[in-house]
Amino acid sequence: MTAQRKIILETRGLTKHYGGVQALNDADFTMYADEHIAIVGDNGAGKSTFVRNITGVEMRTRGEVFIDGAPVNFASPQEARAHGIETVYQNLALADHLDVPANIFLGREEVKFRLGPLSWLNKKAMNARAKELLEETGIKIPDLSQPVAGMSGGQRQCVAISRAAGWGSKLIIMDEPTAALGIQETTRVENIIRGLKERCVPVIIISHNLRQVFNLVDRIVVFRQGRIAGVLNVKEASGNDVVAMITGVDQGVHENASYI
Amino acid sequence: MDASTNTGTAKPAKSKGDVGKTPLAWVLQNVVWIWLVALVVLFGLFNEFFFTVFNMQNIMVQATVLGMLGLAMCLPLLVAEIDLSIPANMGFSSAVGVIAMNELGLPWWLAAGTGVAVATGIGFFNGFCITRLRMVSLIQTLSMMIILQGALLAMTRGRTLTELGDSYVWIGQASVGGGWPVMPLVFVASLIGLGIVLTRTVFGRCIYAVGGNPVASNSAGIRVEATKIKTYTLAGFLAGVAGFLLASWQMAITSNQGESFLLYAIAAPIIGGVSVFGGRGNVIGVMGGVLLLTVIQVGLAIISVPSFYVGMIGGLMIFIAVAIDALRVRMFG
Repeated sequence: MTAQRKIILETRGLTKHYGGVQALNDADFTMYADEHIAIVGDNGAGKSTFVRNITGVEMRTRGEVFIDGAPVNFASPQEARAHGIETVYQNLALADHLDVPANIFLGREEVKFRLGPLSWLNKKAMNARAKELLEETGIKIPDLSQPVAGMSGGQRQCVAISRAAGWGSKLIIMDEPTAALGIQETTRVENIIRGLKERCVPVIIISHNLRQVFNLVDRIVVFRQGRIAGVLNVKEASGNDVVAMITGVDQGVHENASYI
Repeated sequence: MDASTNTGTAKPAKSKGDVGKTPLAWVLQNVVWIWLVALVVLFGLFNEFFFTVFNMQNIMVQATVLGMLGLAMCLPLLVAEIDLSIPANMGFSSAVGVIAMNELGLPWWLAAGTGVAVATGIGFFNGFCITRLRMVSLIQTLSMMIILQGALLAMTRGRTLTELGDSYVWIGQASVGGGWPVMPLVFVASLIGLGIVLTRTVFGRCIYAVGGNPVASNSAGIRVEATKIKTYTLAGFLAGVAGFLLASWQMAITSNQGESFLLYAIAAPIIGGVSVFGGRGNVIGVMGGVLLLTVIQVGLAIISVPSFYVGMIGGLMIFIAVAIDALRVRMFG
């Protein structure tokens, strides 16, 4: 690692306890602005807790988070978004009965004039911007004015990702972006993630799919029992190394195991 | 996850968006208007009195209070909650206003305003209990309904309040140009106002988002609990206005004022396409539901169906409406 590389996200001693349960312990983590990182680990290993405590969904028990070198302490996901940190959830991201532009602008609608809750929506501007945004990310949706409830899982996830990508974000975090998708749709979402790499948008992906992880990212962070068990460079590591680190067992994994 | 996930976008013909354009979908989506036209024709054939101007005026007046309650009721439904206390709130708050007027000598407008303020406060309190105290809306508002009904009975001691004064009852009695009542204008204004709030403002967008997917709304930075509290507060306000209108129209407040409206107030929005699962529906649909229920009530009276059957038929209408709603959700998401 050269000293010139810009650090986008750093955590020091990030810890979260739920009552007596230590979900996350002393996570020290550094991410550079020019890389894509995967977070892997067994269920309950602390992956989602780690992300939720960075993005302000939960308040950490102790530890520090730095964005662009500056300490931050987000009280809500909205604050994190205001700092350019976008999160894409597995399948929770969209409001079913709203159309595509409404979902893309959810929580930060463009308005013609401000009047508290009665601020007047600027639907025309939002429709136009949504169209541009989807073209930029290469997503084709025939009719933007349909409620997203009628769309396929892949289309919905594409909308969610282009929403995250569309806000000039510094960092996009994706929690199992393809877990609920079919093969074709997974490919489409992966292509969008590669496009983000070309546009130099840093991405963190939480994933169970090691093949996908090796194809998409530069480094893999492995969580086990609430701690960061290790960080691997995909060019130097094998699937076996990752599985060994996830399970904590350094043997017995066949080279052709289906989950590698 | 829906069934179309696995088939992917390669077969767009199977997506729900296209099914939504079939004739059956059109019928299901507009069933309230089709039903309304059919019933108007039917009642008109049975008795030509149904088509008279006088009867149309009567339907408009009858629809006003139910319409206000329907608008109030659709708000909690849109955020995937319910408020059973709305009709009881209507009766209780208007009695508070009138008793304040008679006991404290308040002018009529202040009395009406006091009633509306009390109703708004009760709406706020309901919202507070459901969000901050995590009470289940069905049970919390059921208990609130019983409390308010009991409080109304206690306040009136079983008597009917009739000394409302000419100014107080003006809005319910005034008419222009050959008996066209003024009162329905309040409903029309509320309908337009609420329609604008729901479709054109950030608050309206928040209501639909919270009802459609509270988790997504929260992660998008929408304050879900605050939105629900505001929604209940607005519902309480509309119930208060409905209370003023009902007292002014009836020129009296009975000790069980509003109780009979409960089922119809819930049924009207649902018949009009407001989903009980939240996030779907609009005020035009509520108006359709209100007009349909009013036409049924007036029509059954006009064609001389014995009053013993009216309640049963009303219940049957609600059942059919909910069944159609379920069918529509199942077929078109």
